[in-house]
Amino acid sequence: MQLEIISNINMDSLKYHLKDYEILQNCSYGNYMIDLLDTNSSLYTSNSDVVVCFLDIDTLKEDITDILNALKNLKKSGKIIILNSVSFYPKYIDTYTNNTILKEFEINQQIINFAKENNILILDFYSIVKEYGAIELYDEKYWYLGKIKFSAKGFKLIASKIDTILTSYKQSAKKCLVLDLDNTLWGGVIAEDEIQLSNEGVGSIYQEFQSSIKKLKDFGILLAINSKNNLDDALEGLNHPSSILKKDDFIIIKANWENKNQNIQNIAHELNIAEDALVFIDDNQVERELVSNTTQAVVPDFVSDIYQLNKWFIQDVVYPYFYKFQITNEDLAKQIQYKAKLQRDKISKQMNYAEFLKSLEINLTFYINDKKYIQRYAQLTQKTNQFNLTTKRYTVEDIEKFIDDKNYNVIAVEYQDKFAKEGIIALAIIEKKDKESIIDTFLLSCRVLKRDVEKQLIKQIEKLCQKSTILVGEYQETQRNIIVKDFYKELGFKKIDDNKYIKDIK
Amino acid sequence: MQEKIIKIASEVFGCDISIDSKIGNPENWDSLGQLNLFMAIENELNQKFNPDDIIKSDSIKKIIELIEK
Repeated sequence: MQLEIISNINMDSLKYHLKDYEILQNCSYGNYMIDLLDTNSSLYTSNSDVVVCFLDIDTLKEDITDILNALKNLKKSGKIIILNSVSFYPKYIDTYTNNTILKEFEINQQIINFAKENNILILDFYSIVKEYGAIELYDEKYWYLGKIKFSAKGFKLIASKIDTILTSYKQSAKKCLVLDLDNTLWGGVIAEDEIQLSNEGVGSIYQEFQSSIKKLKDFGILLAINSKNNLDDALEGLNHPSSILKKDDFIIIKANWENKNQNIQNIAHELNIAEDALVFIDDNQVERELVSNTTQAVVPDFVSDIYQLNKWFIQDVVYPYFYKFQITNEDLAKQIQYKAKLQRDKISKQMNYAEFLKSLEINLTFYINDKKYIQRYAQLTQKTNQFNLTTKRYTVEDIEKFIDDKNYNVIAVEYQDKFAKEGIIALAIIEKKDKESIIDTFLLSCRVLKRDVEKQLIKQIEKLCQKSTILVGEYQETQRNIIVKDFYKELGFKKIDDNKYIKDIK
Repeated sequence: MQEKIIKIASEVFGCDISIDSKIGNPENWDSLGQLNLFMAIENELNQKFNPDDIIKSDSIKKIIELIEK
């Protein structure tokens, strides 16, 4: 990934802490605004994927609105833009008036709103300062020697934040947090002792931890329990008056005496998600080793100092595995959707498949070249691995380009049945060429597999491509999309080479 | 110490550094590179240097001399 760094101060040292990225020659800090405004500057013409814009509020001469407008213009080039929140350094005389408190708040509000509206990623510098303090972050000596504001540690922390942002942006977040109970979700063993869970003392460590987990659930992360316990004991713990997490917050509760790796495999299977979409937290090292060595689930080390539990959870679990830049409507409804899935699975065992499909009362809505749910389209291309014919990953900017391009059609499908509204669950991107229409992307969320959605989507594509005579499909094999190996063949396409299929639609 | 300083400098400048390297060689060892190099050295060795020494010590040999002083 290629990065460019622009700033009103000397941020050159940042590149020494971003070794995994290719840093293109950054423009000099004196000229950053000229480069931002000049559409012929290297910022616009280079091949960089990402532009990091770091604003030092203490020395900023330009109007923040002008900078944001220029960034908005740069965004049109399709690059990923990272912009920082700001914090005044209390060595300047201005900070000894209350004006800077309000000013800092107003500027950050302006930056955050701008970022939301324009799909710009935020480097939360304000939080870094709050956590580590100005003394750690700044270096007076290098400031006066070469306008280098930050210490080596300051640069390291900023670089680490940029790395986390880009890693999270590119990789798909994990889907389900699986938790042990005793000495993890509360202190002590429920079947043996009075557990530690309260709003004071050591018990409040666990209550705070539970609050964070609950918040994560509200962002669309599924919660499950994997505990060696009797179910009744587990439920007693969740019914504890100080427990923030209740039984209904969990999509699956495996409180039994099975091996924990077996439970992990069953959870993944029942939810129809890959094992590596699960993150398992357990205080017991032997259990962690077992799950880590025998399943694909991610198993972070447990915090060594229990007083750091919540901090550890946010920094070592939430940020690396569950960090999200945009919360879509689908994310917010995820728990309901998966609960509906488990209900459907239960019913499907009681009737034949055709009856089952009919009983679901499925209603599909097609969105054609519609930007309303564009965040979700990009998310689907980045997260879908199994029912994905070409596994091409696209950003919001990429999808926007397809929608604006007359030679492409972007078709999304919204699904609803009598149990739940699943939201946007399928996407196709079609390239129109003379007499051919080429299916660039065809994917379907695993949540709605085997409901014939894919057949309806193909029908819709054929309807849209009436001016073409041939529909071309492609299957690019990956380790995880074997289930769609024969997809085009089954829909009546003819195989013309190793991975290309055609269908006469004239 | 020599080995350590050469390693730090190689990382800062992203190229091979020898005992004979100095400001201007490699090319990106310029006045800004000099400051970046000292920031890295201070960080690695947990030692602070005064500004005059930072400016004057513009070769690997001089830096080692400064540290061993």
